[in-house]
Amino acid sequence: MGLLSILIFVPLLFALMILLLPKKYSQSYKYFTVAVAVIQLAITAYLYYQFKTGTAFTGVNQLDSYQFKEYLPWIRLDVGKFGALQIDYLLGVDGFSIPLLFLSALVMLIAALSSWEIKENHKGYFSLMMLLNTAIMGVFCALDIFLFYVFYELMLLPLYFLIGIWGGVRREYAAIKFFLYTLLGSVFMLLVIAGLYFSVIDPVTGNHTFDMVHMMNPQNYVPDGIFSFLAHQDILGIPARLLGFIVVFIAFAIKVPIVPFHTWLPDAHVEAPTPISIILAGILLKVGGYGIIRIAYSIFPDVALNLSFYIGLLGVVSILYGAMVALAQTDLKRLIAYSSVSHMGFVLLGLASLTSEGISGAMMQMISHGFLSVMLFFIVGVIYNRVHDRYIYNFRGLATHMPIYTGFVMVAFFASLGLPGFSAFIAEAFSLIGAFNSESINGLIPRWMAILGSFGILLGAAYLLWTLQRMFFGQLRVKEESWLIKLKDLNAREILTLVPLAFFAILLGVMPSLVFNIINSSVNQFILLFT
Amino acid sequence: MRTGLDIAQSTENIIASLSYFVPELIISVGFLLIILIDLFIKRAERLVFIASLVTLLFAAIAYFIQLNIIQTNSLLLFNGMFLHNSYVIGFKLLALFASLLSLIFFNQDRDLKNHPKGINDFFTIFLGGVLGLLTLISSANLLMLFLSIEILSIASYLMVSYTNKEKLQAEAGMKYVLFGATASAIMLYGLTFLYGFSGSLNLYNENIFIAFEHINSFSASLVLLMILAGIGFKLSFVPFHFWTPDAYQQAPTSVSSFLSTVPKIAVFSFLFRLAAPFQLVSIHFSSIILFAAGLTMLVGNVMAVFQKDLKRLLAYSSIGHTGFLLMLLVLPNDSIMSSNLWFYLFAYSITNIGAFMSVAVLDTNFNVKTLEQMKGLGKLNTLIAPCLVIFMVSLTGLPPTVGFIAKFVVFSSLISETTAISFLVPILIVAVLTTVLSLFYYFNIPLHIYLKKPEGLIIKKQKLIFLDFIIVILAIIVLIAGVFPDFFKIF
Repeated sequence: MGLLSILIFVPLLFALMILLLPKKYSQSYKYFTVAVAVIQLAITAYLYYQFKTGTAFTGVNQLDSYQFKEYLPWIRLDVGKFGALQIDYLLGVDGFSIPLLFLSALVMLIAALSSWEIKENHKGYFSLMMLLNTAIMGVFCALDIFLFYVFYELMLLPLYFLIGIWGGVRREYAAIKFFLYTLLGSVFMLLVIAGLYFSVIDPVTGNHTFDMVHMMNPQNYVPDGIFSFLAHQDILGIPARLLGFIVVFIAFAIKVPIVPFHTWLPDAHVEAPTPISIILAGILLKVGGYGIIRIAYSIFPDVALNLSFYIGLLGVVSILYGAMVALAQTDLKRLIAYSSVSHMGFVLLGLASLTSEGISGAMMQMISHGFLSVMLFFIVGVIYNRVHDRYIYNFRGLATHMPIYTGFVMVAFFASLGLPGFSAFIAEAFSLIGAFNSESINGLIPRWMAILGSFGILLGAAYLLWTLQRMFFGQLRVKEESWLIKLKDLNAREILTLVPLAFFAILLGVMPSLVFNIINSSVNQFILLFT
Repeated sequence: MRTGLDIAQSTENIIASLSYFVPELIISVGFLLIILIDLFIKRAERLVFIASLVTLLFAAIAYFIQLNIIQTNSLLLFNGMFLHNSYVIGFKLLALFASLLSLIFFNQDRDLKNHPKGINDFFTIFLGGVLGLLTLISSANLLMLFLSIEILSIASYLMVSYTNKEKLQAEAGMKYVLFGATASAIMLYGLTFLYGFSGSLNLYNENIFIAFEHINSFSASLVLLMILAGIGFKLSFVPFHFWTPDAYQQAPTSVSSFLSTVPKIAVFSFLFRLAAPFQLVSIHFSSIILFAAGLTMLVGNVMAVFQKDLKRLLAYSSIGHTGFLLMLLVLPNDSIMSSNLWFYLFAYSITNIGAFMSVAVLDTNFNVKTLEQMKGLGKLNTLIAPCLVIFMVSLTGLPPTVGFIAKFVVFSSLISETTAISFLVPILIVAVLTTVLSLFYYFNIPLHIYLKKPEGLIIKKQKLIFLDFIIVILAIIVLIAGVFPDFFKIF
């Protein structure tokens, strides 16, 4: 049993423990959760430190160069003339997954620390959260596409209950909407997965395989397979590979979310309790981005190349639309939810450029947005826990009343709007450079997209600064007099939570090489897929 | 033709066949024994239950032994009345397993137990029905097919109407009988055509289907449709499904659970065995089946969304699953496909029986019949409510449950044939869309149990009964088979 398996199954073990412990220990569950997250953070930090880079450790479509690999045969089921379903328990990480693993562990720790607000049914809450934790770690480690799918779907169930039971007023609606949207995408993806399985063979054993790394190499496709590069099969008059890409892309685009598949996000974020909003924004959206890179782009590079223009366009639309809708929000949590749509647009724009800068920027944006959105949602949670209100115009002049809090808010806001010195600046700058250079390097997306994308930063500055001005500056005034007593400044636990996030946001802004060095060889290998 | 056989040869065949027929004989003996026990011993409920249980267990053991010593090639028994091979035995074992679960369920069902007539007659009828099931699975002759279906049907009519007291129950029972009788008559008519065109009743006679080469395709399709009507009634695929929701709602929960699983195992295994020859009868067979599959999935899943009554909801869900399974019938009929069908039926049976059992337990403890009444139940019942959620997840087909593996196996068997079979792609899309739709109503149950706040629920004293134990075991099997499906393949 390797480190990755331990990383995945430790939370499951603790979930069982929580379920078996009698109710009178319910106050200790949250410490278990924190303990699990600390263990995971330690493991991922160790993995990150041990992670090797260079041409021998590129990952992507080279199975041998993945690191911390684990392999066990899992399911063998006969399905007709193509022989047995050969599903393996195959784990491994490369430059694309290792930073996201670290991010996930950190976000889970923050979510655990912010779970102090949960007041009822601790047993259910913490065991579901542990189950979610298992699924998340599994998604980033799985290299077998079936295993990936199992973990991917496994995320939905706990989230449905976590939003639905501990959420806000419209929680039922938000929970089922989130579930239906994601499932619609993923069941169609299941068909593509089955189709891919029958099109790909393991070059060593000659059996059909679910190994997604094998699916990335054109020579592993059987000549008459439905997704074969050469056969050009049609489904309903549409080329099969095009259809496959679109299905998989939409499945993950719903998760990212990309306009026009984003409408579940504001509902889910707003209704979810703070820790779940944090996990949604910090990790779940990245699962979408990761899926697009790892599955949609890597398995269908030929189609992705042809559709670059449209994908870039979707990215730009997300950036601008998200930012403009955010500008119109009066609920602080909704505003941040829409800002996520806008920021995740940069991931798509950077990716569509298929340049080294653009893809590094996209990865950086995912990590940076992980830290910053978590920080933003935690900040909203602080106010909401104290007075149970998030309406922007109900607050004014908080800067004098809660100075430490305001300090962290300013860090988070300035970091999010892309001020140099913070991680988001590096991320957005690189995405835009990639998009801008694309026309001269590979001619995939036109320059005006990069220019329009940069307007998104401007709009981001507008809504964030305006909110800062509305809520924190000016004369102190809140809706009810009694709130002033409730609105205490941050306590030690909250500061402890925010400090590492702010620290990483600044650290990556000053030393982006910490991430770039790790992902660089994988990014270069990834680009080779498209030549 | 039978006339060519002399008496001696035919008697020899019968005697030789008897040894293969032991499990069915065990059930027949059990059936008679129970009638006698009930006649001569007073207050024999417990004894009758144990006798039925032992009968089924012995039959299952006999099949296990047969499965282990079976030769690879198929045998025809009793002058071509029954087929005997591992495929048939595999499905018989599954049907027996589901019957065993049903038997335990019957014995715990409040409606049946408290009935003035007593439950003993019911067990007799049930064992008769099981005999019909088993002969249906192995029948190799059109007459045997009709006889088996009739035995099964009559047993089901009686079981559904066993507790009839009210008008609505009588209506449901009547609907069921009338529908069933009409469907059987149509099927019998179809079978006479089959005999008329080919001159044989033996399904394994080479000539029987080849004869249809000379019949025009319209009449051939008509014959096929007629036969499918009788079978479709048992499977309740659209448009023969009208009886299902009423019968399931009004029958005792345990009977609904039995009807929604066990006859389907028998009929599907028979139909799948004959799918390939039926394709010879009419070239439209695949299209008819796919059309029915699509329609059944749509009707079942769409109607389920609007249901408020739990048993009606499960009734429509079972219609939806029938549609899903029908798609498998268009595939080439080989041992691997049979094994896939077996696995899907296995997954569906344990999940569905588990779901019905949970509903029955909740009904007994909290008097819950509709979704509305389920509000906030999760807080009151911490054992069965989570199990019910697991069953719903499995029925939707999400990992890590057995329902997901089953669904995936069906999808992957079909996806490789998309180019070979016309209409398959649109039907697959229907299957995917209805799967998403099914999430909506299956998750109405966890929604009401966990997400809604309770309002005015009467908390009765809960007794842990044997059924709780079975439910938990089934839920665990659903999860384990979802992660390690390899353990649960018997052939």
